[in-house]
Amino acid sequence: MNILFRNVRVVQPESAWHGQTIDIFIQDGIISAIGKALPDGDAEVIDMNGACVSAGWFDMSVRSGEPGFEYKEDLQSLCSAALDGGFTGVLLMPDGAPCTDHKGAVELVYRRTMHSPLRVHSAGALSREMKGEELSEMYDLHLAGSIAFTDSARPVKNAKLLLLAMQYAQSFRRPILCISMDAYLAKGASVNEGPEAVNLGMKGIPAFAEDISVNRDLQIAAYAGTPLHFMNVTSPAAVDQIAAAREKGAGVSVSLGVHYLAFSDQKLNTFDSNYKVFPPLRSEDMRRELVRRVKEGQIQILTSDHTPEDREHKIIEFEKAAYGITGLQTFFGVVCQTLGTENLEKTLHTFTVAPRQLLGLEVPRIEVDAEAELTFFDPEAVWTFTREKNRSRSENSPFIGTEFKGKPLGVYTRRQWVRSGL
Amino acid sequence: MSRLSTEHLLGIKYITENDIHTLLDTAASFKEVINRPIKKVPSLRDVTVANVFFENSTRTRLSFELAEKRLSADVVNFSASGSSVSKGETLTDTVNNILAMKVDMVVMRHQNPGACVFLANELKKYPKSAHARVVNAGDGTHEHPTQALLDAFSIRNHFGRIEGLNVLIVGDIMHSRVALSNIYCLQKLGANVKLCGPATLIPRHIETLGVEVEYDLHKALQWCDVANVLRIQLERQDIKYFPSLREYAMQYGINREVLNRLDKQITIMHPGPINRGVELDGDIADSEHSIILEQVENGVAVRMAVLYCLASVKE
Repeated sequence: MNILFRNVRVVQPESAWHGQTIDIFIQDGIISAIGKALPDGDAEVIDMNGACVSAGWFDMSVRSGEPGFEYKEDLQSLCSAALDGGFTGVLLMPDGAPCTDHKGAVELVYRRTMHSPLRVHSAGALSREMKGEELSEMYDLHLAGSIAFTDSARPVKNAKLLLLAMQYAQSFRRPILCISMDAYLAKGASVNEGPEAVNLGMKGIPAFAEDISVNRDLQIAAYAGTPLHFMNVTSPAAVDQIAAAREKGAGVSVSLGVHYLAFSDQKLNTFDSNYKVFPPLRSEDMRRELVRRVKEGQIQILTSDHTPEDREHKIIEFEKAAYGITGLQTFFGVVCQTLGTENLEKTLHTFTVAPRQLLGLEVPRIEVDAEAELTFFDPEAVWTFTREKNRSRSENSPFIGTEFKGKPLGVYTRRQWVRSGL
Repeated sequence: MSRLSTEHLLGIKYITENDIHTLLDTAASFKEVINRPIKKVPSLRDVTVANVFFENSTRTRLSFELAEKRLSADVVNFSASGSSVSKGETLTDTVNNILAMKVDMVVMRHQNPGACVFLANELKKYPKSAHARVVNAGDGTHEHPTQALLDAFSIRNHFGRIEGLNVLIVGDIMHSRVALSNIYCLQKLGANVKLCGPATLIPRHIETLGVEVEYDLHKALQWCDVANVLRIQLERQDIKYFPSLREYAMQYGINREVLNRLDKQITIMHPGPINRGVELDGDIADSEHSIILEQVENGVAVRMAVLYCLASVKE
C-alpha cells in the first residue's frame, strides 16, 4: 500500500530536507521519494497543509498494567494512547505483576504488541522482583529482548548492587537506568520539603536527598567506568552534578517527565493526588530551573513517565494514593506549553534522537530508501484534552480539561498510517 | 447572627478572621447555656450528625458527642475498627453510605493529612451527598481546627483579649495538627506566636508561616504570656526524633523548677492527653498556672458553636 503525504515541513536537522516543505512518498513502508509536487501514482494522498514531520517520537519511560493490573492499562490501550500522542516507539518499564525479571515477561510484551504499529521495547528489572537485593538474570533478559535495565521508580538503595549491575551489563552493553534518592531522607514523606509541605502539615522530601544520592551513583559510575542514566532528577543541583560529570567525559545522562516542567508543589493545596508523583513536584523556583536546564541541554531526554492508576488507588486520601500520572497523549502539548516552540528541533531531539542513542536503537531517517517511521504534528494547533479523548484505561491525568497549543496529528510507522484522535 | 463564609470547617487556614470571631462569640453564648441547670437547647433538632472516627480519640469524640446532644441533634458514631474500612472500602464510599441514611453533618477524624479537604471535594460530585457539612476533628498532622478555636476561646476568656499576646507552642511541632491550626488561628487574631522544641521536631521552613523559633526553653518561656504545651506524639514518629523521653523531659519538660526561674507568671495550656512527667509535670498541670480543664470545658461550647453555625449556612 502506497501513501503520499503532501505539504509537510521537515523538522529534522539530520535530514537533507530539514526546514523544507515537501511531499513524502512511501511505498511498502519505505520512503521512495521526497520532493516538491510529487506525482500521485496509485498512492492514497493525504494533504498535511504545511504541518510538520519529524522522525517518529520515542518515549523512554512508560508503564502498563499488564501483566497483573490490566484494569489500569493493558498493552493494547497503552499502544493506542502512545500512538495517539505521536509516539512510534516506547520503552516499557519493568513494573507489572510479575515484573519483567524473567524472559517470559519480555516475550509476553513482544507477543502482545508485535502487531501494533507501536514499537514496544522492554526494560528488564535490574534486581529480582525489583526488590533491590540480588541481580535479575540480566543476560537472559537481554537475549529475550530487554534493551535496558532498571528497577523503575524504585531507587537502588544498595550501592554494591548498583555497581554489580553496571559491571555485569558491560559485557552485553546495555544501559542501566536509575532513580537516585536517599531512602532514609525520603522515608515517610511524599511531597517536596518546603513552605507548601509546612502548609499541608506533611513531611517533605528535601531536594538534597537526590543530590547526595546522585553524588553516590556518579561515583559508582566512575568506578565501574560504565554509562549510567538518571531518570526523573528533579533537583536542579543534582542535574548540575551530572552535567559536570558529563563535561568531564562520564557517560551519564538525565531524563525528566514533562509534568515536572509543568507543575510545582503549589498544585498540592487541594490534596489532589493527581499531582502525587515520585520524586515529588518541587518548588516553583526549582521548576523554572528545570525548564532552563532542558533548554540548555543539561537534561537530555524528555519522557511522559506515563503511569496509569485506577480510581481505587488514586481517588483516595493523598498519603494513601499511588504515585504517578498518565501522560502519553498530553506529552507534546505539555512540551509546547512549557518550552515554547521557538527552538523546536532542539526540543524534538530530546524525544527522537537522544533516547534512541542512549538505548542503542536506530534513529528513523527522513531520506529516500529509509524505512518510514514518522510523526506528523502541528505546533500551533489549539486543542483540549478531554475524558472522551483519553485512550488510556486510567484517568489519573491532571490535564483533563486543559487547553494546549501544539498537537500530534498522526504517525506513520510499521507500514501503517495512524491518525491521532486528539 | 452573622454567617460563616464557609460550608465546612476543614481547617483554620480556610476560614476568615470574621468567621473565627463569629464562632468564638457563639461559643460564649453556648458556654452560658451549658452552665444552666438544663443544659440542652433545641437548636439542631432534626439534624443528624455522624461522628466518623478513623483514628482513636477519647476527648475530642466525647466533646463532639456532648456538643451534638446538648444541641438536640441525632447522633450516630462510627469508628474504623470493625467497620467495612477493614474490608477495603474507600473513604468516599464509606461516607456516601453513611450520608445515604439521611445524615446531615459528618465530623471526621482521620490519620491522613488533607482527608477532610479531599472528602469535602469528593462529596460535591455526588448530588445526594452534596448537602452534607464536613467538620474536621483532626486530620493526620494537618489541622485540628476545633482545638485551635477552643484554645483561642480559652485564651480570650482568661486574658480578655488575644491581640498582642505572646503565645508559645512547645514540643513536638512536626507531628502535631494542633500546632498548625493554632498558628493560623492565633495569627489571624493578632497574637505573636513562637515555637520551641528540639530542632528535630521543628519542621524546616516553618518560619515561612511568620512564626519565630526558639530552641532555649527558658528564653522562650520568659518571652510568653501563655505556653501551649504539646503532647509528644510517639505514635506518629517513623524514627526516634530524640534519644529518650527522659532526655526530652530534661530539656523541654515544664516543671515547677523551670517556672520558678522565670521572673513572671505564665499560663499553661495543653491539648491533652498529658504525658505527665514528660512534657509537663503533674503538679503544674493541676496548679493555678494551668487552664487545662477550662480548655476541656470550653471545647464543648466551641464545638456546639461550630455545629450550630455550619448547620445554619444556606446551601
